[in-house]
Amino acid sequence: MSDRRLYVDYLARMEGDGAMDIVIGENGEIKKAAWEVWEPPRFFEAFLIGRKVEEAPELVQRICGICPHAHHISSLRAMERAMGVKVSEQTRLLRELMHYSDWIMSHALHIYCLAAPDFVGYESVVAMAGNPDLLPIVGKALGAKRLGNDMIVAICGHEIQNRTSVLGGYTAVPSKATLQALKDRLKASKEFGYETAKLAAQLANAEPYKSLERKAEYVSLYDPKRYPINEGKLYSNDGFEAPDEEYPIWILEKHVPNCNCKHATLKGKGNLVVGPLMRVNNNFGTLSADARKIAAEVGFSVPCFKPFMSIVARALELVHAIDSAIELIDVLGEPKLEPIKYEYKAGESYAVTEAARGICCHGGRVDKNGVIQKYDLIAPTARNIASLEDDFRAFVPKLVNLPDDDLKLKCEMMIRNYDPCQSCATHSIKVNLHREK
Amino acid sequence: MEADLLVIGCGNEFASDDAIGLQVIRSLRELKKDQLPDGVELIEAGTPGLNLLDLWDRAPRVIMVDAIKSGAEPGTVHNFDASLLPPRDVMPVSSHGINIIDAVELGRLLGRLPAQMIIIGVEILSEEPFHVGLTPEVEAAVLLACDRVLEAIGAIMGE
Repeated sequence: MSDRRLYVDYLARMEGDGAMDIVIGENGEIKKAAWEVWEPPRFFEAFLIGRKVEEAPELVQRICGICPHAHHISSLRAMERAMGVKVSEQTRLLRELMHYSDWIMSHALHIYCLAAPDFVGYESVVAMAGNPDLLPIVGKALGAKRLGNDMIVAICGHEIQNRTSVLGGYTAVPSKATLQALKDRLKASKEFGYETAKLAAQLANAEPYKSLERKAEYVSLYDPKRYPINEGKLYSNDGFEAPDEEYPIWILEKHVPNCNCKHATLKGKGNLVVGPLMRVNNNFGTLSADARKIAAEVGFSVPCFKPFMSIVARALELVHAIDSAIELIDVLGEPKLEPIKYEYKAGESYAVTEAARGICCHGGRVDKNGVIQKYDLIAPTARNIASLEDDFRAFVPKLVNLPDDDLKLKCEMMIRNYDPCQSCATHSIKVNLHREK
Repeated sequence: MEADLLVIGCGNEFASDDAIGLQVIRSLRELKKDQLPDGVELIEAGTPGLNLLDLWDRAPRVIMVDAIKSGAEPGTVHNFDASLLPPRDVMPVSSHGINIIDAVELGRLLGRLPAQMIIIGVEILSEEPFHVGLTPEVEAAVLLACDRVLEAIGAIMGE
């Protein structure tokens, strides 16, 4: 008798390097279910010490090319809080618009290039585009990704990494004409958002995906009045609530062997999960009216504890992000260049934003000369690793009769449900399945 | 359309020889500027993934310069026409596993391929992460690759 082992190294369609290792005993029991991240550590928290406070938001956006603005805005808000810096309403709105641009780009990329090929049985988005029925929507998805990128260029002055957003405000603002041109493109992309939600629901409502359910601690930001992207309190479906600046007290990290990414737990609770499905569960009421309408039309309701429904949640958030961006452009009108004023002041604080793949935490301590004395950050992927192993333990026994290749693919999909970003978390993918015969 | 011909170099600055595409563009700009005809734009694209399609939309003719690992001697300079592509697995992949060959395939399916495209691939030795600088074998091929780009520009523009 021997164990059945599922091992996949260098999982495709992921950001960063890591491996999945699953060992199934002869009676179908799970002996090991691990996700090992080898992406090398990046030491941001260490090298920020001794830097000037205004450099932190500038440098941390370099952590990631997919969610730079989540890191950037978390850092801005934490450092501003530490020094008691207040920003204008226009700055808050521009930061929201900047971050929704990331969501549009990231969600379109994830749904079509990373997740959908698994569901429809293609190796990649390129192979999927070979299907004449799917080619048009792949073309539109690339258009939406482009739109997200162009919004970022308009607001940030540069593709991906921003050059205009700084501690206290913006050094340049987009013109009304630029924003209106983007608004026209956003309105034109609404139909794509709707088609995406319909396609996502169709894919995730197939077996075995629709039957795989596991209740867990779903953590996100929460705001009763506004869908939380840059601001809100920490909140879970199971009664946890805390101000976002208290994340270091509540979200605990520990090193585990064979993984360069620390595992996070919620104090007094245990493993937690973050991401679009968790946000949508906790904040369904503040999704845009059209996103809620489409949810009803495609048969999605909350609470929903089916991890494979993440693709639907992501699609609903894509619709919401498009709607929110249109609204923000209307409210912003003609943005004005505002003077940036702040003074260095000693202080310590923390802040959380919602990256496309879940809560992104930054913060630290600054001295009276504006020099960073301590810095802390937790990327979304770190939050999900321990809980992902719970998914393996819950779902692999239900899929144990599948042949190895198919079971490995299903496990890879479980990982991709969380749209992990190892580079951010360092923090990938390689699936190793081992079963006793 | 902003240029008649784009020369696009790809690569990761922080992965040793993977940066060859960037180095070729820089050398063209610094050493061969007087040999570049009007209407040619040089672009250091980094690791653009599917954003290549957006770059290609800007001109009807494109020369791509990238690293390649086909098993030939390091420093060997290969030429491919986009209608006759090398196997997918000899080209480096960007994050999310997309490379030039994927972008060409997707561009073809979507009708977004430039009318003419030549790929110049330089055989590399090392992709050591967090290492800046080419290995001597690949460094020695930079000027040869520049000359191949200039020949390709001449061939395309002279048509």
